[in-house]
This record gives sequence, structure tokens and C-alpha cells, in this order.
Amino acid sequence: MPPAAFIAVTAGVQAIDRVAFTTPSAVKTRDTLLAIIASIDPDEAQVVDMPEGWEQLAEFPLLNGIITILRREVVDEEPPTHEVALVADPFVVAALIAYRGLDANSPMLEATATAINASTNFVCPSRTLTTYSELYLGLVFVSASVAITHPAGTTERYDANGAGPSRLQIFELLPELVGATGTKTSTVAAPQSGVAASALFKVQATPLVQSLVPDVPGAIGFVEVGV
Amino acid sequence: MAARKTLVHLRFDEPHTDVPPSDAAGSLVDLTDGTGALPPVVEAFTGFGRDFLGEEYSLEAKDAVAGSSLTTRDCTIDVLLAWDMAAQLDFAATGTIVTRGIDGSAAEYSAYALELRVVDLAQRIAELRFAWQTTAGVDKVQAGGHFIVPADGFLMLTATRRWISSTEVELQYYVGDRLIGDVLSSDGDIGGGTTGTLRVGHGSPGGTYLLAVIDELRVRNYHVTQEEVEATWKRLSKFQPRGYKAVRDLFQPDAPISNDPASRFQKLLRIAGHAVGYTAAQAENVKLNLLPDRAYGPSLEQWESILGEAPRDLDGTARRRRRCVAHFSQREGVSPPGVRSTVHELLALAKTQIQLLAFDNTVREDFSQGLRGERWRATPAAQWTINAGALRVQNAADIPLTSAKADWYTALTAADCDGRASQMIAKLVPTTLAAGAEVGVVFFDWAQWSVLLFGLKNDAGTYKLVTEAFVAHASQGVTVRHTFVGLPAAVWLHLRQIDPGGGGGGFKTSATDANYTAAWSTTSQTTGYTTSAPFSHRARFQWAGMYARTTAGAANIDVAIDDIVLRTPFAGRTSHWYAYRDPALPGSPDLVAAWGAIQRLKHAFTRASAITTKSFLAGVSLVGRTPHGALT
Repeated sequence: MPPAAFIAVTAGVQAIDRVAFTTPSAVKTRDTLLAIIASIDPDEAQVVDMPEGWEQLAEFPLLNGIITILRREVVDEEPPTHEVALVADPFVVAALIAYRGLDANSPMLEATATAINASTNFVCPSRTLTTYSELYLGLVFVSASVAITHPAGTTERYDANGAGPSRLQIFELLPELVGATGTKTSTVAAPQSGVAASALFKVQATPLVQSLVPDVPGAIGFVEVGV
Repeated sequence: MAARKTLVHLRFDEPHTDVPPSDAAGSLVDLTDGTGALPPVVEAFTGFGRDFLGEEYSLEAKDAVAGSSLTTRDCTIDVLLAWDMAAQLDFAATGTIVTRGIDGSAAEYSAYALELRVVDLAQRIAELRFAWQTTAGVDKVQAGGHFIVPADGFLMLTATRRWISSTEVELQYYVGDRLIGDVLSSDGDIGGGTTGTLRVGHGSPGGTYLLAVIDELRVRNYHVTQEEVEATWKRLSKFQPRGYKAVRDLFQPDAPISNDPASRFQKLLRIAGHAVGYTAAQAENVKLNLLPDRAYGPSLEQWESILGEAPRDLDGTARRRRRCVAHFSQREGVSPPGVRSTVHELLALAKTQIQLLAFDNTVREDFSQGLRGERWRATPAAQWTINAGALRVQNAADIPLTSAKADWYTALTAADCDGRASQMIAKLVPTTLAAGAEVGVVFFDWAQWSVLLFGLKNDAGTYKLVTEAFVAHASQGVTVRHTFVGLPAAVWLHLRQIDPGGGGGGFKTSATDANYTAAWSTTSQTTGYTTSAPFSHRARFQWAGMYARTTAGAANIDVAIDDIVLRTPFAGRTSHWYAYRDPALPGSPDLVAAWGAIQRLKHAFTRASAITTKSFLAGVSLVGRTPHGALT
């Protein structure tokens, strides 16, 4: 049910060649968990194994880094943690973000990424919405532990350093408009390198509801006794 | 818990426009116009309503008693209205249904507001959303729920707010009985004052004039459940119309009665028919929602009263229901599957995620988890350390051999019984044991100061195994059990009460003697023992452990102690069990209810609890029960 509702975000914790995520306590069954893993090393930070129930939606190994997007639907007996295995043990920054209302049958519509070379502008690609309620996520990886300013008109959901010189920012946009969102640019104070990505997620259909059409005027309305 | 009540109920059933609307709940004085004219009275779903279309209408009123319409925590707002989306968008996208607090001062900060927003007119998509202001007057417009608005008719809109903490607020939105939004907000700082104004149709933090016909508006100070919303919707949409039809169908099709809805006869049929429908709806509600898994409101409170469950202010309905249901989920009793079935929902776990911990009467200690304070009472603490995975005792000064000053070094654990038939094994690895120094195992009756020592002693250069007993501080003499040739690399000491004395069981007093043996091995923990002849000493003791003492100076004791086994057959450990919930697991457990359910399940004269740690201090209440030492 739109709009997509942000529930919680937790930081991923790296241990050598594994990244562990803690399931937020506020999630409910059928919520969507998105794991975002980013690193400066596009070879060693690729995901080689993930627990049952997870799927890889996108992986962008580029010159200046890599961003990987994994997805899972929360189940009744949701594990408390999830551990993802990488090729090796590069410095990684990662986060687990939970949303409610995403379409489970069509997890991600599209995603692309751009390598950023020594720039203060991290330009996340434009996405084209075909349904007004789709969720735009901007993902920014900077290979330095510096603050990132999210684009105006967006809502920042995560912005933190990882192990080693690295930082990950996640921001969301609910445009409520069909068509292109335009690029969304995060900025840093001094030129840095990294990766800027964006992904578009489908949201559950807007429900058609029923109304009350009076057959004769004068129904009993809200009452104080009973329902 | 705060009493559930309706704060505001505007029926808008005035027969004439100029009659000021009144609040059926009595919280407000009569409403007045905010813009110079009262919204016109028009026919609506429940009879009459107020038409906010056409001009910038609003209604407002102060509390009849200051604060009577105020809630800064839980609330539910329901409204029946017919909305003109096109007119709304033409004026402004977002209309205010109601707001309590119209901004401008702390007293007028909005404590709750409900807004309708046009998202996409062509697709007839709208958003229903909460809004409020913080205690500093900052607008907090909340995420809402989207829905497609039907072409005509009245909408039943319900918005519930459940305040959990200053950073967690749960919001749910319904249209009819359809849940359209389930949102978690971090805006738990909610303002508003007792002298604030309630306004209908205009003035919320994110909205302006509402273009709609409002039939009824109600504000309650609690959050309603989905069952209650569904029941109300069914009454309005199904049962009342069916009741009217049922009464009408009593007449023959060609009966000479007016079919004009405005006729008196039809109105009489409506009264009777809707009364029938209302009754049927209440019966249906009872049928569906009487049992505690779906009960709400007074029904749930009755269940809690019957079952002895007292809800706390912040308990949500789901948690209260689970507590009640747990009283019935005891089909398999205190078996492991039965315990899991009863408490798993209360602990917010799958059955397989619950660890059931139970114990025999043997305590094993390898010090791999350090010297845990909840198990060992080590004094002086600085002299007992962990080194290379074992306990290490070193002396800092003389520790007189006599008991007069009672300042031996000791590391003791509770035997959890009176000591009958108990036995203890410990491994000693001496590094330094200078002349006059002694280290070993001890059984200690602290109340009577009756002590049995069994240790390795350096007696003027000769290493001996000795026992010494004290009764009421008075030594009963030292007995040499064995003499070593040189300092042994390691020795296992085994002190054991072989029989309680006096021919068997029964309560042993401090003056009752029992028979003991002292055994030792330099081979291993399980083989190569040599056992002394039985000797007598007081039967009762409550503490067991290790000791160190010396007649000589400092730095003449350095002994490692490891692989402790203490068996106390008459201890209460086997009567303890615990349902352990790993705190790392997600979810919001109800430990209070889980503990209560376990108390109902467990056998008499046993101890059990729901826990989230496997290590706790003796004397610390586990939701009302006291544990005995570490569980591993």
C-alpha cells in the first residue's frame, strides 16, 4: 500500500570477508529488507554467498568502487542477523534498510550507477517512473570518511562511515509523478571519488476502497455503545 | 491505564444551519464559525451533515472543561464525509478534517490533526494522514496511506495513533475496513495545551480548507483495533441496510406505501430497519471478537480482569491479547513443547528459537568465561585472577593459618543445599608454594563457622596433603593424609561427604556429624585416586570452593586451580529451569507476560523464569524470582 513506508535502517558490521546485518526489531512480516554494500574494491567486495531468502538485485563494479543491492522479504520466523560473504576482506561500508509496502512480485524495476572521479558532485542517475508511487533510492559511496549532503527535496535515510576511508549515503524520493525524476546530486566539501547509483522500486497497488451510498437518509452513525 | 473515552463526537445533526453544532461527548462548547458563517446543513449519510464546500468554512470551539478534548498520546479519529476532490485540488491540495490546536502559542500547538490530500486527481488517488506539532511548535506532517476515491458516496475514514515512546509512534489508516497505511513515525514529541481550540475544516499543520460534506466526526483517546474498525464498517455498510431491507420486505411488493425516502413512512421503516441491523451488527461483533485473540475495549478488559492480567499504560492491544491467550495455550503442560507453545508468542519468537535451560546438580567450572562474580565469591578479589584459562591465587601478605582472624583467601560458590552427600574435585597446579603456604578445597558452614579444609601444604620444605577441620572457629587438629616427594606438577583433590552419618537422610543440623573422605590423584581427574579412611566432621555446609593460607610472608603462593566439579545431590538446581530468549533476536518480547505464563505452568516448589541473559547475580530478582548462580 503506498506510499512506501521507511521503517528502519541498521549499519552492516564487517568481519574480515563477511558482513553481518541485524534485523530491525520494528519490521513486520512481508516488509522488505534491502542490504546495500559498498566498497572501493570492486573485485574483492563482490558478494559470493548469502543466506537463504536473499536475492541479489544489482551489482555495480566500477572503476572507483562497487555498490551491491540485495533484497529479502521478512518472514514470520525472521532470523535476528543475516551474514553475507564477500570474495575477500576489503574495507566495506554497508547498511540494511527496511521498507513496508514494496511490491514483493516485482522487487526492483531498474537501477544504474556511475563512477565518480575526483568531484564534489555525486550525481545519481535519473529514473523514469511508470507509476506515481514508485520509490527512488539514491545510493552514494565515497571512498573517504567525509560528510555527504543529500539532494534537496529528498529524505536521507542513512549516512555513515564504514571500515577504512569510506562512507555510504542512502536517500529516498517519492516523486508522486509519472516520468523522469531527473538526476539527484549529493555533494561533498572537497573532491572525492566513488560511485553514485539510483534504484527504482515498485510499490504495492493503491487500493480502491468502498464508499457508503445511502439507500435512505438517516442511518445510525458512530455509537458509544458497541461498534 | 488512562480510561478509554470519546473526547469529541460531532454528529452535525442540527436541523437548521443557524443552530450551532454541539459536541455529543460534552467536551466542547457549541462550535462557532471561524469565517463568518456556519456551514450549511445538508442531508448526509446519517441524516444531516455540514457542507464545507463552496466557501472557506470552518468550525471551532474551546473545551468546556480545559483539556477535555486534548490527547498528546494515543488517539483515534473517525469521520464520515463526502469529498469533492476536484474542488479540493482547485483550492489547495490538502484539506484539514480536524485539528486540536490551531498554532500560535504553546497552548495552541496541534496535538492531533487529520488531513486529506489530493495526490493525483486524474487517477483519483488521495492520501489520509496525521499531522501534529511538537512541544516547540514544529510542524510534523506524517506519512499517510493512499487510496483510490470512489466516484461518489461517503467515506468512513479512521486514523489511529499509538504512542510507544518519544521516538516511536505507530500510525494506521483505514478507509472503510480496508487498512491503507501502517506507518512508523519517530515524531513522539507531541505538543498541545489544555486551553487549545478544536477546529474542523481548516488550520492543521499541513492543510487548509477542506472541501467536503462532513457527516460525523469523532475523536477518541485510545487507538482502535482493526477488528473494531471492521465491525463498525460492517454495521454501516451491510447490517443496517440489510435491516432496513428486511423490514421493508415484510410488506407485499404492491402494498400501498410511499417509496419516497423523505416520506414519514420510509423514515419509520428506516428507524426500525436500522435498529434491527444495529442489533445484528452487535451480535456479529460478539461472535467474531469475543474471544481474547480478537477482543478489544471492554471485552478485553474483562478478559484481563478474569485472568488476572493487569495491562500497563504502554501495552498495545496485540500484547494484551497475547497475554490472555497464553492462559489458554497450555495444552501440553510443562513439557518442552508445551512451554514453547505457551510462551513463544509472548517472547516474540518462533518456537524453535526458545532455548530451554535446565540443570543437573553438578556445577562444572573451567574458568573459560573468567571468574564470574555471579558464581564465585572471591576474597580478596585482587588475589584471585585468571591466568592462561585457569584460576590463579597469589598472596600479597601473610594469611594466618588460624581461624581467629578468618582472613584466609577464599573463592567460594553456593552449594545451594545443606551439603548432604556433596563432593568436590579441583585440580591444583602449584608454581610457588613456599614453606608455610597451603592451598586447597574447602567446605564452609559460614553460619556456624565449621570448616573442612583439604589442601596441599609446604610443611617446612616437605609437601603434604592435609585436612583440618574447624568447629565454631576451634581447630580440631591437622591430619596429614599424604606426603609427596617433591612438589607435584599437578594434583587433583577430591573431598567428599560419603554419608550423612547417623544412618541416612533427614535434616542435618549444625551439630550433626557426617563421614568424609579425602582423595587425591596425580594422574588425572578421573583415575589414579588414593582415598583416605573416612573421618568425621559437621555434615552441614553451604559454601564450597578453594582457599589459600600461610604462616610465612608475602609472595610465597602462586597456584593455578582449574577443572572444578561440585556435585550437590540435594541442591535445588534441578528444580530450576528457564526459557531463554536471545536478546539479539528481533521483536518486542513481553517478558512480564512470559514470566507469568511460566509461573502458571511450572510445578510447585520449582523455580522457573523467562530470561534474556544466561548470567545473573544471586539475589537479583528475575521478574520476582531469585536465581542461584550462573547457568552454565
